[in-house]
Amino acid sequence: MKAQITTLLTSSLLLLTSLLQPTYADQGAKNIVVSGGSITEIIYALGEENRIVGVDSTSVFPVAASHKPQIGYVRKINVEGILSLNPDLLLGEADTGPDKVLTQLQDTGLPTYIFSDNDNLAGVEEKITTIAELLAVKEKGQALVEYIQADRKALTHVLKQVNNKPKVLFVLSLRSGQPIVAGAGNSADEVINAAGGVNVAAQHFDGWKPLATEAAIAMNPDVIISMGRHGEQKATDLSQVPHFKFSNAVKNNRVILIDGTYLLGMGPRTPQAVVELATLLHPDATLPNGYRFRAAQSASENESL
Amino acid sequence: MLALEQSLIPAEVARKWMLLGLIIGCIVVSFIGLTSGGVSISYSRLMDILFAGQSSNLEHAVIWQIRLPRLVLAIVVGAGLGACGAAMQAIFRNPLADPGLIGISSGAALGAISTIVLGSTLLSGFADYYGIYAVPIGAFLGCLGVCSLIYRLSSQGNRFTIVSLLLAGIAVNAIVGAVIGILTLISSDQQLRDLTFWSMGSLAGNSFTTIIPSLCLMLACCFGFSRLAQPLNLYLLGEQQARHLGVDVVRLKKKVFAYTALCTGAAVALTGIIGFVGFIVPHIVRLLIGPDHRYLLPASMLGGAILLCLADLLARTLILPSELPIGLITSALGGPFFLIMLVKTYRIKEL
Repeated sequence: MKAQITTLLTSSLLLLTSLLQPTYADQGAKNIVVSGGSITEIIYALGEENRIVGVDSTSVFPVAASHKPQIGYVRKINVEGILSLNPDLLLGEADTGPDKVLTQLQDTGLPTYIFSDNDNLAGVEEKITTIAELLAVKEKGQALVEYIQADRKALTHVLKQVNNKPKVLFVLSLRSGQPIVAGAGNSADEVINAAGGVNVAAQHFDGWKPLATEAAIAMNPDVIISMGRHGEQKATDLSQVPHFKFSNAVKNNRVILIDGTYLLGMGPRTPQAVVELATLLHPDATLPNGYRFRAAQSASENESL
Repeated sequence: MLALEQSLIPAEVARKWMLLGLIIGCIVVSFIGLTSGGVSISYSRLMDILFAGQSSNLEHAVIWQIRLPRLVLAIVVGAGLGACGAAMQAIFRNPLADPGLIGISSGAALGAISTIVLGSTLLSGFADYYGIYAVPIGAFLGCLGVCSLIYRLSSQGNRFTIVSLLLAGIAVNAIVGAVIGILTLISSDQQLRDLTFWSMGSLAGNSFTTIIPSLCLMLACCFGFSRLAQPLNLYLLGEQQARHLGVDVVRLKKKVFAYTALCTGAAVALTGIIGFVGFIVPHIVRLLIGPDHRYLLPASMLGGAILLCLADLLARTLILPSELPIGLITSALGGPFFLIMLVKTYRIKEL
C-alpha cells in the first residue's frame, strides 16, 4: 500500500530529522521554508510569519504569503532554491517531494520536519501544537487551539438539530465539459461528511474522477459545491451542463461556491468553513448564541484570522 | 532528404575546428553551470572545492551532491539524445525522425506511469523493493519491452525494413497511448500529479549513486554509435548501394535500433521525457557541417550536451527559488534557433 510506504518513509525521515534537529534552546527555528499551504496559514495565525523565508505555490493564504520567495509546488520543490534562502528548517506536508529531492536536502544537513499524515480535519489542533513547539511559541499555539474550539462547538451545536442528510456533490472543475467530482477518501469527502451531508459520489469511486452525464443525472444531488470566490453567485455554468441541469440542487438553487483553501486547506480556518458549510447544507439549523464567523473566507481580505 | 552537399562549413579542416570549438564550449558551459545557481559560489571557491578537498560544508555539499551529479547527467543525457537523434535521422533518411517516432519514448512512459499508478497495488512488491529506483527501473523495462515488441513486429522474415519499423512503431504508439490513458483514468490525484511531472522532465534530485548505472549504459551506447559512422555514411547512398559496398544493412539497422532503445531508455528513466533535443541538435549540426557521420555523431553528442546544460542552467536559475520544467526550455531555445538555421540554409541554396 502506498500509505504504508509513505508512513515508512516519513517515519524514517522523522528519525533522521530527530538526529539532525539542532536543539532550539528557546528560540525555535528562525528561517523557515514551508512546503504546504496549511502550515503557512498556521504560522501566520500564530503571528510568526516573519520567520518564513520561502513558501511553496500552495501557500496562497493570506495574500501576503504568496509574495514570499517561491520554492515551487509542494510535490516538486527545488533543492538549490531552498538552500539559497539559508533556512534552518524545512517544514513540509506529508506529500512534500519528490523524495529524492528531499533526501538531497537532508544530505546537505538541512533540518527538515515532514508531517507524517496527510491533512485532515481532526488533525488541525495537533498540527498547530506541533508547529508551535517547533517555533518555541507554545502559548500562542495553545491560544490558537482554544480559538478553534469555538468552531468545533458550533459544529456540534448545528449537527444536533439535524436529522436528515442532504445528498451533496463536490465539483472540482468543469474543464472539457466533463465535471471532475470528489469521490471517497479525499478532503472534499471529509468536509461533506463532517458538515452533515452525504457525498453521493463516494459509493462509486475514490479520489477525483470525471463524471459521465447519465451517472450524474442518476445521482441527483440536493446540493452541489464547487470552488470559487467566496459567496460568488456565478454558479450558472454548473447549472447549464446537462449533468446537473435536472438535479434538485439546480432546481432549488442550491449550487454553492466556496473558496478552496478555506474549505479544503485543513488549516486553522477550515473548522469554521465546515460550520459554514453545515449551515448551508441545513438552512433551518441555528448557530449557537454569540458565535460568528471570524476568519477570512477568501484570500482577498487582508487579515489572516 | 539528407543531401550530401548541403552544409555551411564544407571544409574538412573547418569541421575539425568546429569539433574543438564544441568541446571548449562544453567545458565553458560546465563551469558556468557549476558556479551559478541558487547558492552563489565564486569561480575561485569552486576550484577550491573541486580540487583542494574541502571539508564538508554547505558549499561543498551543493557542488558535490547537487550540481556536479546534475551537470554530469545533463552532459551524458544530452550527448545520448543527440547521438540517438542523429542515428535515427540517418536510418530513416529523414531529418525529422527522432526516438519518439518508433515508440521508444512512449514505451518508457508506459513503464514509468505503470509503476507510478500500479506501484502501490498490483506491483506493490516491486515499488516497495526498489523505493525511489522503482520508477526509473519501470521506465527502462517498459522501454525495452515495447522496443522488443516493435522489433519482433517489424523484423518478420528477417527483413526489418524501415517501412515496417515505422508502421509497427505507429501501431504500438497508439496502443501504448491507450493504455496510458486508462492508467491515467484509474490513478488517484496524487499519482496523477506525479505522472504529470514525470512527463514534463526534470534533472533534479539525482545523486551519483542513482545515476551511475544509467550513465554507463548511455556512454556505452554513445561509443557504439561512434563506431557506426562509416556504415551510416554508406547507408545514406541508398540501401542497395550500401549493400553492394559491403554494408550489412539489416544488421546496421538493428544495431542503431538497439543502441537507441538502450540509450533513450536509460536517459528517460532518470529524467522523464525531455523532448526536442534528439530532434533539433543533429538537424542544426547537419546544417552546419553536413551529413558526414564521422563528424556529425560527435558534434551531435557535444551539441546535445551543451544544449541540455544550458537548458538546465536556465531552468535552475530563471525563476529562483523555484524551478522551470526543462522541456519548456529546450523547446524555447531550440525552436527559434532552428528556424533561423532553416532560413539561412535556404538563402545559401538560392545563391
